[in-house]
Amino acid sequence: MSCGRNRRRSKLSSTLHGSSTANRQSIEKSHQFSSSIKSNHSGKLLKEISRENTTNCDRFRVLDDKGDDVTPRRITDYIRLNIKKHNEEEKPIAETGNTRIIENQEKSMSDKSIVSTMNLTTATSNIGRTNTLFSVGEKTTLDIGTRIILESEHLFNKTQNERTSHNNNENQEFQATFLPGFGLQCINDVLADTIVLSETETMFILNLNSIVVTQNDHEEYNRIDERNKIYMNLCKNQRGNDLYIERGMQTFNNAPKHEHTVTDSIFIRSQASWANTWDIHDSTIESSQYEGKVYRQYVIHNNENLNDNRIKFDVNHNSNTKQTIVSTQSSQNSSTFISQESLVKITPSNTNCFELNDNNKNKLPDIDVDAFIMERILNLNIYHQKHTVYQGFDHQDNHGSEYLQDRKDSFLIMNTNLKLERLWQYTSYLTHDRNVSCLCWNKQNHNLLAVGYGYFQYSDDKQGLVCCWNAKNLEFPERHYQTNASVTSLSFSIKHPNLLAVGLFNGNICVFDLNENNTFPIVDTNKYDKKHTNPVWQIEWNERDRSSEIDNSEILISISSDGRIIRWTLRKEFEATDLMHLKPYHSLQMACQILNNNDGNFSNSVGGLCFDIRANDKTIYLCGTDEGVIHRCSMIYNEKYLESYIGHIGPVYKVHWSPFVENIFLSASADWTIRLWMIGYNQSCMTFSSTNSKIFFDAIWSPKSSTMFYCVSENTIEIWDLSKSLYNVYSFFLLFLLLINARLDPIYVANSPHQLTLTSIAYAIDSDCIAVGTSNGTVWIYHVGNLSSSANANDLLTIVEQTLHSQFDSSEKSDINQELSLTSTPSIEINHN
Amino acid sequence: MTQAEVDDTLKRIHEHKGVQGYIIINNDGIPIRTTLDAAVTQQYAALIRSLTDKARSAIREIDPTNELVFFRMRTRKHEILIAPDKEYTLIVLQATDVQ
Repeated sequence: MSCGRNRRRSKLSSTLHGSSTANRQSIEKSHQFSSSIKSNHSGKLLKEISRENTTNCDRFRVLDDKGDDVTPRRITDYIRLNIKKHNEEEKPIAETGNTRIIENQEKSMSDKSIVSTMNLTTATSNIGRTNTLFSVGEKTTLDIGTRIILESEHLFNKTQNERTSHNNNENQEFQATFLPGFGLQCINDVLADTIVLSETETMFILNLNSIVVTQNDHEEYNRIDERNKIYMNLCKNQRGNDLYIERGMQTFNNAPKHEHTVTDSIFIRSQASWANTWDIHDSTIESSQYEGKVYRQYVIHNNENLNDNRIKFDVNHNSNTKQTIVSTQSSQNSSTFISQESLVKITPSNTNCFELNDNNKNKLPDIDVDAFIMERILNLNIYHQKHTVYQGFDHQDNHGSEYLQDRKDSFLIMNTNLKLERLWQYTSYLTHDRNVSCLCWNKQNHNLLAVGYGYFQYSDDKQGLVCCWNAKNLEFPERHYQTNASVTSLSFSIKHPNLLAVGLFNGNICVFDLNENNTFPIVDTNKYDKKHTNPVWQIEWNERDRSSEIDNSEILISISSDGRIIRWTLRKEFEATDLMHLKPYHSLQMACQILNNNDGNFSNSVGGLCFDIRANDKTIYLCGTDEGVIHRCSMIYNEKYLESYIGHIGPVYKVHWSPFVENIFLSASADWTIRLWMIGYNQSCMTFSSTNSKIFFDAIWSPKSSTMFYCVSENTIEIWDLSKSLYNVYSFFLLFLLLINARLDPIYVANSPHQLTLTSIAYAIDSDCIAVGTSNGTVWIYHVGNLSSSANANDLLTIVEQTLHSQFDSSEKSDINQELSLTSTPSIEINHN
Repeated sequence: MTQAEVDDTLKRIHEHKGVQGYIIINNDGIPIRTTLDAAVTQQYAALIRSLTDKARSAIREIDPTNELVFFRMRTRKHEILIAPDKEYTLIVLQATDVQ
């Protein structure tokens, strides 16, 4: 580096300084470079390679083998011209400043550093503006070393020029500008040293020959290519070739060596978890269900609720999925096992304890099932024994208190063991003070009882109610629906047991779907023109026997006081077809008269109150009218009745085919009588009434015994058993029976509690219980116990036949045999009266 | 079921014969709604919660496809009826000397 050389030269100059005292007088503050100095040291400097003023003398030159001058040129050579110009123009002005600086430099000669020289140069550049090589205008950017060289050269040039042009003494000042740091010697003669540059031998440390040869490079390319081809063929032929066997070999392993690396410290934490059987089961199910999906958030949310650090890492399932797919329950359970003890102390921040105010209402919708079950269980706790009785299990007599206590309320007329036991009642605030108008048991769910509340007469209270009670919950109905008119009839569908058809006082028919928890019906006939105009007294679902129709769907049949029996089909909406128009019954003579007078058929329409479809032949049905006549009709033929049964003198409230004998049916009427009929005879076979009975609202056959039926009159429940009533007396009192027209007595009469009016009765489907509706809204469930051996169809048939025999003994004896043979086979008779 | 019906049912439960009170707790064992006093509620909530979990775990250990629907503990003085659910648990206390 030139700086290093400069340094050396400075020392030399100092020694020079010491030696040349002759010229010292004026050199106290300045240095003087004279030719004397130079001459003194020319010998010393011969060995040195020194810089020269390139303009006057040559510097060293580098010659290559051929003698060409390949001296590397410096950048500064190209700027020399400019510098020369500056030198001539400028005049050193501020020498005094420089002298001071030079003094400083003398002191600090020993430790010259580039920085300090740089500082000097900058100092000089600051002070000696004219001395700077680089004026503002030039702005060439050179590195430090080059700048130093240039500046020193510049100054050297100046002094050189001045020296040559002036005397030494006169140029003291100017020479003072020269920086001693850059001791420069001017050597006139050209250095004759030659420098020889040559390359050393190449020393190969590692020589990896490439295995890739190209066609141009290698002479042996062809040979190698051929060898490659041979090898490839060999590989191809190797497969399947007998000459080659594949065999495994063990090669030597290279010696292992340890290699150390430095990593961050690994965070080790131990965790534990329960893996229960159900946990594993849940995880496998969920992972197969939600493949790929991840329910991370929910788990973390639950884990964060419990302020326990262990829980956060608590998942360790056998499935491959990560901890994210964990059902909440399992994570809850597994986590709470760990934190059992700490559970009591945990208080998560977001939920409050004891939110007893009603603002909390939005948070509880999910608990409905729990509450539902709870209510049932509570009921079960209390009513357990009654439930067992209801189901028919043999009970001990420890609840004898539940029997009808007041012995005066019930009495056995005949000598039977029949017991009527009041189990419970269905009542709630909803049903308070409403009249029960109809009852219907569900065909599928035998615990479900639908109760319709409505008045039989027109009243101001226009609201009707339908409640579905369940035997499992005695306190409150499972479903309740408000209707805008009194409910007069109900029926559950057979095919779709969740559909409940309701007939209303205003003639409307609604259908409710119990599965949905709506409060409105799914279908309504409100806007239908052909709907009934009078109360719908009975409604029944019927399956169509003929499957030739579109679909074997159910149809709805309703009867009303407006004299029409309508068949409804449910497609999109209700569609109705009139099955029958009830016409008043007149005797033959009167009918002719009326026909002559009137031309309209419907002038005197009579209201229908009840109907019953025959069990085995769904096209035949009975209907009772409010004039006391019962008609047997066919759905196919709606012009006339098939048969009419006369006998009642009041409106007939109920007709019921016997479930055992096809041809016999029962009718209950407001004329205080119940009559037994057989088809073929338009007079009643038997008439029943008792001293207690008044208006019979309802009567049903017992499904267990063919000779028993239950009826409800105004204040009493009566159980009649024909076999019991008749059997004893028949043989002896035949004539007596004839004369008094078979006045019989019920075998069991139970008074209604609190002297309520009993309005309806229904027999439970799979239990020996009857449901009785009262006029204040309660429905009582009675269990009929100790049913004696039930009679079958033949018993009833024989009884009736015998009665008929005796009845018609006095008249038309010859017809009996005919009729009897007819009655035993079901047939459609068309009587033209 | 709507919220009103649920409240209705809860009210009926509360007025049922023999029922001393009920508590509804959430999954963390914190009582949400109760008709008993605070100390008793807190006690019941904490203890019943862990017991229910244990019972549920036992049932599922035997058969993972099964699940606990209802849980009854009859003691001398009263009967504790617990209906666990996914998010809530309903606990009802009923006196046993009611017929």
